[in-house]
Amino acid sequence: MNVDHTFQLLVDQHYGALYRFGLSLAGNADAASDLVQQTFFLWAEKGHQLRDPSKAKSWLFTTLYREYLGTYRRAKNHPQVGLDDTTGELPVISPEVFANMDGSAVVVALASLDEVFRVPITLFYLQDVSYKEIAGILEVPIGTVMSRLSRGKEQLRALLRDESTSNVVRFEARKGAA
Amino acid sequence: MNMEDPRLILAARRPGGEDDNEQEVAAALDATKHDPALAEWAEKQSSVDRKISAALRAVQPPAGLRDRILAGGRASRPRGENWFERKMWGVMTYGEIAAIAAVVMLLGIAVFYNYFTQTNDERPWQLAAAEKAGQFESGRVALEHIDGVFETTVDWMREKACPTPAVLPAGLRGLGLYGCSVSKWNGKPIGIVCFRYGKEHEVHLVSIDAKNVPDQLTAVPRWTEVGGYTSAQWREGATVYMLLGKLPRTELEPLIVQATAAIRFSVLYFL
Repeated sequence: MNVDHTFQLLVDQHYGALYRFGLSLAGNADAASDLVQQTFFLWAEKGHQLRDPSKAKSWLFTTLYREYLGTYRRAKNHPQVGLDDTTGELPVISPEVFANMDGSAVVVALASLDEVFRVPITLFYLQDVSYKEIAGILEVPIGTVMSRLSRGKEQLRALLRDESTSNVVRFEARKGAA
Repeated sequence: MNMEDPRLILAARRPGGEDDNEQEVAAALDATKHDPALAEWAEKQSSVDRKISAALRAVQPPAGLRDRILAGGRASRPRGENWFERKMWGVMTYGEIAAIAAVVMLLGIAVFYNYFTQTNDERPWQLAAAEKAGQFESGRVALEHIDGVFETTVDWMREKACPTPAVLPAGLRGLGLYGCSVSKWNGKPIGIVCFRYGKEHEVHLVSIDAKNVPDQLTAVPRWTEVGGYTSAQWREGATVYMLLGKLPRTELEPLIVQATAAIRFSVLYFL
């Protein structure tokens, strides 16, 4: 298998998930595309140094995240969020929320998450990497990842519920105007 | 945080079940079998996760992104691909150049080896043989073939395409036989048969094809000193012989007379 074919296979397998990850991090499509292209550019340059091919996926996600930290994150504020040791009850979400939920709504909700939660939550919902691999990408202990996933889900579902409520309000308002 | 909390672990479990074989996840799933409330919570959790995950994964990258990535990859390839696939001067890959270099190097080693071990032995064959005999006597080099029987010793030398005396002369026949070796002198085989002489000495019968040596030798032994040895050299048929011993000529001469006579006899016999 030649280098071009190997590279193409890698792109086909992962560029979609990497784009979605980049989109949730940077918050816009252009920045996400830049991040993905830069990640594969770095792979083309340095990927051959990776001795274990099974680590390619983690390498790509880690590289994209580092690129984001080095390029885009500097321009943003990053509130520190305290973590407690409890796992709260998940916000109740009505079935209508899921009926109306599409990818863009999830991306908007993810982008509104505190960043400390946004990265592990996005990686989690992409389903491409395990919580152990997320810990490797973020370079934090596994327990920290578990805690952030638990708290992040609470925030995300609250955001989705609020977004749904506001949509219903807007819908009702439009109906009233009509 | 309590790492043992099944809810914390189940919250980190991918809804597709990819992590279910992880030890802690398996334990948490097992706990749901004994705790209906936990099982219900986990099922709701997974249900919501699956839907959010499906919605997120439905987001498609912009058209053309894949092609731009592939084009970018090709553009950066000269620095990123394996070194042996890069082209040098646009003609040959580094891998091909490395293969050619390896062949040239192997040829060089072969020439070097040949030069120093076979084709460039400027020592006379007599001196080369005497030095070899000295190495055997001192024990620095072991004989290739250890054998106390002359006939099997000769067979072994013939297998090595080395000229040998057809019959062991009576003078040497009374001596103990150590064995033999076949060396190379300028790429040509040269045989050395080693005998015990008394309690402290050895004698060596050297044989080489006459056409491989420059000396004009005859059946009459020529006595000389070679490398600290007393030596007698003579020719019988197509083979040149040399007897070596760190002994006076008077002690070696009886062996040589008998040896030459015996070899002459064997040659006549085979003719």
